[in-house]
Amino acid sequence: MLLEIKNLHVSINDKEILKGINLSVKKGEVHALMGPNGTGKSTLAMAIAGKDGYTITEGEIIYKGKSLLPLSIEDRASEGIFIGFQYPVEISGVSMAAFMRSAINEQRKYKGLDPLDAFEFSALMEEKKKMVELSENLASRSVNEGFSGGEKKKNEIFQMAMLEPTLAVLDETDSGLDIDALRIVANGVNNLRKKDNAFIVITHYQRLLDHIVPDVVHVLADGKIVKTGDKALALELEEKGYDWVR
Amino acid sequence: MENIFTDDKVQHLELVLNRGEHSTLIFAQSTSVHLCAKVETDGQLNVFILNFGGSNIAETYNSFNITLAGQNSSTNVYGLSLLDKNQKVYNEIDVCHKSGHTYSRQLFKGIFDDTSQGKFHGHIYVAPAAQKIEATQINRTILVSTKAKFETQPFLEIYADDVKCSHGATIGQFDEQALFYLRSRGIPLKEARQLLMRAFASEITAHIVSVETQNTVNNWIERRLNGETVACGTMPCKHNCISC
Ligand SMILES: Nc1ncnc2c1ncn2[C@@H]1O[C@H](COP(=O)(O)OP(=O)(O)O)[C@@H](O)[C@H]1O
Ligand SMILES: [Mg+2]
Repeated sequence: MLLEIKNLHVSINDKEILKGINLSVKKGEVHALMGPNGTGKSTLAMAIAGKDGYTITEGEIIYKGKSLLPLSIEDRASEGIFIGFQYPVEISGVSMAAFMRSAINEQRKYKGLDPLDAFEFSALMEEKKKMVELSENLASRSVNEGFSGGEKKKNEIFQMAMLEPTLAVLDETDSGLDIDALRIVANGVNNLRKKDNAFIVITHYQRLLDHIVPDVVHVLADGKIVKTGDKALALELEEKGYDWVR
Repeated sequence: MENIFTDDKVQHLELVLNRGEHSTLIFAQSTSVHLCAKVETDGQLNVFILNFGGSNIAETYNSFNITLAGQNSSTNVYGLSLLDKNQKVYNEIDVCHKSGHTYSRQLFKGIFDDTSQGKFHGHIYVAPAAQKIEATQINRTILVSTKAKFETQPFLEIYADDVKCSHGATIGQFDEQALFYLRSRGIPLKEARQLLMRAFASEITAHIVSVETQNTVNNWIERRLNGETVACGTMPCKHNCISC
């Protein structure tokens, strides 16, 4: 098992948001996580990332057989966890190239590998940039600054492609995308899908799941997983709405 | 004309820029600087005041008094302080718009760690006859430790009515959301802070026109961020210290 979440309770400012989540993800699987707004989907993603303020009051997150909870945010990333954020952060003055070069080389250092040199790094950046069809001058642009909504989402996929994570959690990466951008995002995921990695795709829409076919679909409501099924569940939800599962 | 001052001695300078003359002065030293300058018609004075600490001089007091005396004269005064330990930097900037159609900008940024302290006193004076002037003053400070202190004192004294003046000051911490985002990609806290500090500093160094000089200054900043010059007395090091 790659990821095992057991009875996870998470509070923000003493308010309980997640009320006992159980979720197991095997290598090679794609899980879709659906559910109404405000039910805790992003909170789960942040708890996996290790963000401050998301207090785990009960339960465990086991990743690759070990507890994830003692690890710092950066060590979780170096262990292969990637979160595609619902609201990517703009960082003025830090170029995408400086950001990604630091990220890749810090992760390599963690694994005891030599850093990529400037040429290797540029070649990698060029290759991955093509995949997501981001602008020519991406390297010199400040992180997410002045990016359109669609560009920000594509940029998350770009970072994922650069870092080749073992477990990627994509939080509404499809929201607000036009059909072209949606196809790019879906292709990004499908290209990276392998036997030894896994994805948790948080989404409201069946249209993404037409492109990224999930193995398992979960519905989260009021801090708990209230229904789990196969891809047919997503179709049923689309038809009947969330009220049906609540 | 461009001059870089790295001598570790107190500077007292008087300067007149004649009609159409342009000059850039870059002070990268821990000892105090006192400059009194007058800029005539079409002249431009650019000043960079860089304080990177790492010195055994604990207190720096800089004063800059710049008079825009002729029409279409301008001045840009940039300051960057990267301090730690118990160092103190006081910058007192007085810009006097004596003539109409004159332009000034003050942009001061600082990052203060440990128990370091800074004070910025930025004075803009606009004489009664000085119409159609533009003056801006921006002061941005990051306090890294809870014991670091910063005080900002903007002082606008405007006696003309057709002027565009603006000022703004912020004192805050590192952007927590940005740090989280960087760390979530595997960049440790220390390196994430360095990326943000580099970005913060580059907003000043970007204004250095000469690419060569800009690279030199960025190099100093890089070394400063890596903590390399802390043991050394001067910035840049002229002593061939092992740590520099
Ligand atoms: N920083 C925060 N402070 C207080 N409450 C929060 C914060 N972030 C999220 N919440 C609350 O947590 C609940 C779940 O939010 P979220 O995980 O973003 O839901 P979802 O992603 O499913 O839309 C909501 O009620 C929201 O208001
Ligand atoms: Mg959300």
